Amino acid sequence: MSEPLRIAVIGAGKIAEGSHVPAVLASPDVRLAALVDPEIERCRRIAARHGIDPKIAADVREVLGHIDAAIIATPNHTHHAVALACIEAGVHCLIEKPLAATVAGGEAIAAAAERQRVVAAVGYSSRFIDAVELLGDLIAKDYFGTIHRFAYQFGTRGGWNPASSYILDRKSIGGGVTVVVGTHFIDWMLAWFGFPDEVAFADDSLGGPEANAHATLRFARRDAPLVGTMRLSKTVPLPPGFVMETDRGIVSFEDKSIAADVVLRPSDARDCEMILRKSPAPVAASRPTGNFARQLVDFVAACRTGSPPRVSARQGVESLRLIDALYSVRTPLPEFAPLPRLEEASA
Amino acid sequence: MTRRVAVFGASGHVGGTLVERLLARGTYDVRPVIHTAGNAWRLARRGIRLWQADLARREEIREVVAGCDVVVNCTYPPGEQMEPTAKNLTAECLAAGVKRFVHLSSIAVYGEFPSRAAEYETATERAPKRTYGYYKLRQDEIVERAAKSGLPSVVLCPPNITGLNSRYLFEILEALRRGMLPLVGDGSAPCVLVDVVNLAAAIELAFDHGAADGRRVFINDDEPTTWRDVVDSLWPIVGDAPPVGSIGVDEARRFVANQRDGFTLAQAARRIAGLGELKRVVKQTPTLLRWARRCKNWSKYGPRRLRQVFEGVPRIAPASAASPDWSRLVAHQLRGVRHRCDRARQELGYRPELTFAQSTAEFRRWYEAYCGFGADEWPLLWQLHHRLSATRGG
Repeated sequence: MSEPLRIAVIGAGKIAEGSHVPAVLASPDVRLAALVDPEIERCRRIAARHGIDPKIAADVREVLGHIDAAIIATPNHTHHAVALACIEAGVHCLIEKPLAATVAGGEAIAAAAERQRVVAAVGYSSRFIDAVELLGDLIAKDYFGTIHRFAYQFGTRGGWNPASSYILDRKSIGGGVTVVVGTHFIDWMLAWFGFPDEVAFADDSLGGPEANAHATLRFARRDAPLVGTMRLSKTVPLPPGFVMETDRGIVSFEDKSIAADVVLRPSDARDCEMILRKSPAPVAASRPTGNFARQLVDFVAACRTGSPPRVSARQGVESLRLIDALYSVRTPLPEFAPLPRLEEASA
Repeated sequence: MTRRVAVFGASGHVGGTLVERLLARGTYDVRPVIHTAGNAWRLARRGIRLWQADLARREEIREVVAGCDVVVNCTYPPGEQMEPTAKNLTAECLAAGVKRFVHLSSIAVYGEFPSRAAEYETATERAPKRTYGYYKLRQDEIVERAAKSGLPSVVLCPPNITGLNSRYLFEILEALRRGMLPLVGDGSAPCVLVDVVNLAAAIELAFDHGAADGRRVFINDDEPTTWRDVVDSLWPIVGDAPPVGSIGVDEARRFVANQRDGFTLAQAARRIAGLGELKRVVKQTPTLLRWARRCKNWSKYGPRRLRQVFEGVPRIAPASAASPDWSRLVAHQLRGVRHRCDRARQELGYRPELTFAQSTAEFRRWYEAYCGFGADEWPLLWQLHHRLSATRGG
């Protein structure tokens, strides 16, 4: 068995502490060699909590000679600079989604990785959820026949408090709820249906990160055009999930748990439901249950074998391109005024 | 001269509406104060500066209230932290020479089933210990003491709050979709509500009006709305749902009483046993079990100051959604009291800006635009609403 990869987790915020570090520590294929964050105390706290002694640094350049790979979990607008520093030093990168805050930033990362022949994977961990994998497989096999339309929504009253509060700033995010929440679905959609031919988009940004966004996406197809909608919110609770109308029936998936099933309500028997689930893997081929752990396995395999990771930097750039396309046709969502009778009152 | 107003709890429903209202006026220097970034999207989308402060930390409050003429408290900390946070906030406002402090109380201070006397603010409060109403009452007492010490304070006392994105209306909608909201009798019981726009208007009025003596002032829509009215107004956006049932008053009382009973030891044991892997691991590890018991006792009995020596001043936990308690809506129908707005009208000059009919019409319009009701894709989205209604425990 080969030596474990020496890996650094760069950014010691909530996603690193809660998901990446536990995945690294649970993996026999990697060793947590370094924790990096400008706020060093956060690194020390994580190390103390897990009883580990990695190299701790405030700047990624301090650890570049000591690592083979890096997980970059810093605020979005910093991905570009941190990833380039790693890639130029020959370090493989798993970069949290989105790949960068701009298309140009993402392009630069992808190009640098190709030039340096290192792996640049994007942390769309939700691609490793069983139901998402299964839907992708079944769509690719045309199992459902023609897909006529789909709808996706995800809405919560806030939630997710990253340590740095970068989500209050549009530039740090590279957008708003479309990036923070919608980017997962955008990644699936691109993998399942390709790049849409026409988009419409509305959001409620008044200069800051939008809290609500609605998109319509049209895909020209030989047989029948496909139209889908995406509804995202950080202020309104919307039952999360994906639904599509197909020849076989209505297919749905509740996007609220990694253990969610795909449900088919057959078109010829609408009063029953069929649960579609991946067959259990043989024991010898069993894999971790968590999507972050699975993502790490995929990343390590790519680093060791040179095979492409499930979500490459080029795919990450496609997600950024679609987000850019949506923002470029933006129209405002209707505003509901807090002063219903302002005019009458002042008159 | 532009007045500086700090709104604590600005990421919430009331605080957010108030901040937007004050910004729309254009005559205030507004400091929206939030606890955590994750819930502040409504205001963040405006690209304005948001102030962050934890009410458990006096120095953070001090920085925000410095130079403020008016401070509004719309925060909603967890129960036991309501009292210390109100103390911290009023103390810092007093020290900073704030000219007007507006605090949000709740009709919950009069208990779940208030007496008829609770038509007026002077009724005896009777919220049971360790309930939300009890902690709000303790806050009110703190504010009243602060008023006596020289902090001009107005305490507004709203019922359940409606308006765009109202949690209460979502709760009623969900209950209707699940068939979990029977009307008590013929549904003619009073339903006292306030649209968040009306409440924000009252808060603004309190900047300049009112006795500022820390006494409570009822604020509501001031209409004879019934539960039947509420159900009828929401029914057009309920969708495919079972018909609304009806139960008698006695049956409703028994239902609510049953839901309020505590656990028997056997029920508690079953519930704990069902809480997943973590609990199982702790239970099967004698050392961990001993530690868990010690921690529990320590957190329960350890003197707060002593605990702070070891653990530091605890930060306030961010607000999170509670699981639904359907009996609550039946209990609300048994309150049977209309709280009168006479004091608000006389002392604040309060007049509701939205009628109940306008309020619910606006809510429906908003629900269609933001939740997709009636849109082309609604039949697909309904699959998700329907599945959630069918599978969520409650």
